[in-house]
Amino acid sequence: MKKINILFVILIAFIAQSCYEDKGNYDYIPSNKVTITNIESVYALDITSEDSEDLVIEPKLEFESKPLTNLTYNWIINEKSVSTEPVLRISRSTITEKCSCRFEAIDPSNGNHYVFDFNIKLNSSFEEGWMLLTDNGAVNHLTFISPSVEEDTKSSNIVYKAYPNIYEKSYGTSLGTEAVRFVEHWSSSYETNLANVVLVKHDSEGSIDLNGSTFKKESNTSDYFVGNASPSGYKPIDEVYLSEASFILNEDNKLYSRKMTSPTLFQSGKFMDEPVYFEKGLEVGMFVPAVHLVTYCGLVYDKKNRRLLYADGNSQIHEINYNEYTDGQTHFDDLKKDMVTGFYYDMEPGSWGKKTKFTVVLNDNGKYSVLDFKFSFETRWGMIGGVFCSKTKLYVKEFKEFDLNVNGLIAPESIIYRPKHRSYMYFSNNDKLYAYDLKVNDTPRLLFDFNGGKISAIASGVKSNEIGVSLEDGSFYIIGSTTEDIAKPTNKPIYKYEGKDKIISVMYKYGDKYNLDLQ
Amino acid sequence: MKNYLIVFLLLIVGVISSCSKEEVPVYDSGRYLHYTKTVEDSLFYSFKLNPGLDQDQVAIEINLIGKLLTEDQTIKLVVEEEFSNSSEVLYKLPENPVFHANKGKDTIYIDVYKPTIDTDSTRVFIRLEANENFTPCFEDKQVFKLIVNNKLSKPDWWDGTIVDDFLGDYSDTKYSTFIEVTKVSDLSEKDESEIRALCLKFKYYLQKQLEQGNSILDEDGTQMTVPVVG
Repeated sequence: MKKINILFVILIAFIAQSCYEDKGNYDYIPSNKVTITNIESVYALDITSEDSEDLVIEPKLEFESKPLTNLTYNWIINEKSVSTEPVLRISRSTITEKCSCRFEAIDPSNGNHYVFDFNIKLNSSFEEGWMLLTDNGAVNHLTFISPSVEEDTKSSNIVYKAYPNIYEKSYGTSLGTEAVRFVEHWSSSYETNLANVVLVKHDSEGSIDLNGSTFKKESNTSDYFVGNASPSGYKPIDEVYLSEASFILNEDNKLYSRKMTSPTLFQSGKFMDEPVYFEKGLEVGMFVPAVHLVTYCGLVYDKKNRRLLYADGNSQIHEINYNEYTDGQTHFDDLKKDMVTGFYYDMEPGSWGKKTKFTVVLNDNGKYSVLDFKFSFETRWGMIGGVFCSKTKLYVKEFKEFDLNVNGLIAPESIIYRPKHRSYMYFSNNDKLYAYDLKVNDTPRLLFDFNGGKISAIASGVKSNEIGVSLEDGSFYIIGSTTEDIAKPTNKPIYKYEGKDKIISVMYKYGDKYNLDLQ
Repeated sequence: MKNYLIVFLLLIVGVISSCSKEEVPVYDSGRYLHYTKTVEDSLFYSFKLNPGLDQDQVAIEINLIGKLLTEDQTIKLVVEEEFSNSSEVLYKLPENPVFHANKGKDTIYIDVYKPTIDTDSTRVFIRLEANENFTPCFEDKQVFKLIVNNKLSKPDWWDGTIVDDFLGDYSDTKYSTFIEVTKVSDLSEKDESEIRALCLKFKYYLQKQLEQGNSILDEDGTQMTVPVVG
């Protein structure tokens, strides 16, 4: 019995010792603490800079006790080892995206790693500025005009730098032909505030989505069709990006829709290969989106039935219900006139895109008129079938209609443009640019005379204090458009760019989404 | 004393047994066959889901365990059980099914025929039988259940999401109209965009028919509608 007891105790002791924490009893060598200096936590590279010098990082190592002489090194960029030299030398052109980086000094005698983490971020001159789309008859080019603030001791001036033919120069390939226009579009990602730019191309390969920093091609939107094949007769003339839905308008006036599956991405979800259908059929002549990002809706002009509809964020088309017309006013569901153009021009502050204002220009056999109204999406709560629920409905408010008092100055080939947050509308008459105050509905005011150069495109710049006007001869003007500029026209541009090719489209690239929210 | 001894011996046995090495069985000789699906994963073939066809073939995958064949070898298939309310033969097994050389997985094809009467149905259990070339293995994968008919039933993919966001409540009439319009009967492998596209195509069809004065009615006599937005 006693022996058994002893054996039992020994066995328990063996089992218990396996659970005992080993505190150790060894000889420790005191560590030689190493401090790494002379590396910045963030390096900012201007990817559009013509400076081709390598990025050189030369770290310094300080040792707590004696210097270690047999260290090895490792430079890691985005989890990939790029160098084992003590000094990093890397070509700027090889950095094409934001990088997480690490420098490691390794003591091979004991395997100790001494590390320093840092980042390389990219700045670009292409983030904000004017984009010009040109056509020389054989190929399209992209020219970027970058504004930057130049400060001296007395004042600060905006200086402009032109980057002609930037896509071909950067990537060695052509943009191809049949480009129509640019469309800037944002994602709801917290990772980036910068927009991408879609170059809408009127060919079967379709539009291309360009990176907002580099203009590098990221995708073809024609790749985003169900079944990975664009529909027959596919030739886009416009693309529209609402907050969670997007549309492609084809040259045959068919509209293709998709619901974004990941609005944090620039492109997600697939376009339906069958065009959107709406009661009585649909031939979309124009699609006017409200403010980007928080876009709740877009105005859709159905030229087949000469009516105005709206598309919501779920890519659904709806009728515009309004029944407060006075005698003789144009009805949304039966315009009896052609829509010439339309603009989203204002948003009620704090409404997050739910209260937006539009101007629509109509033409009735040479007689031009304007519809001006506010879309107000309002949510009402109530009990339905014993359940407390909400319903959002569109209300049309501040509906106005008036003829344009332009004395025949607007012709079918006129370019018309209404900037955001301004009561003015601009229009061209061959080589002359007019400003027209829609609030006063007075006679047009000659803002600029281009003396023979025919106007080909108009767009407004940041905060609508300047407008960009291009001419068919390839020149581009930035013109002041503040209330003072319009009251006292000087016929002097803020900036003039002289290109050779015909400019077919102009867009001010807002870049950062917070630039846009200011608008 | 006796109790201590028993406890002690059990403990020793427990400790020793934890160190024993279990041999992993390997198929070092012979060849074994089994279906890739279990008998619970029955194959349901409805001609309603394949409009326009009067006969078709269903594919059944078979796995080989053992050395690959150097030349094709015959497989033996037997009908274990059959339940049918049809006077017609709605299926036909392959006459000389073979497992092909140099393959670890092969497919056999069973002919299926559309019943003349829509309510007719056949359910058949097909067993892999041992022969001179193969031995069946895995008890639950030796029998395959095939159902052939011309009926519709609510598919598994027509779940709450499909009801709420795309097609609404299920009915045989709605399902067969959907198949007729889209030529698609199975949405289980489709992504959200593809499902949306197919459901919108169906919605537009219903809208166009209604505008042409041809109202498509559901089983309860009401206008057929779907909730998909777009």
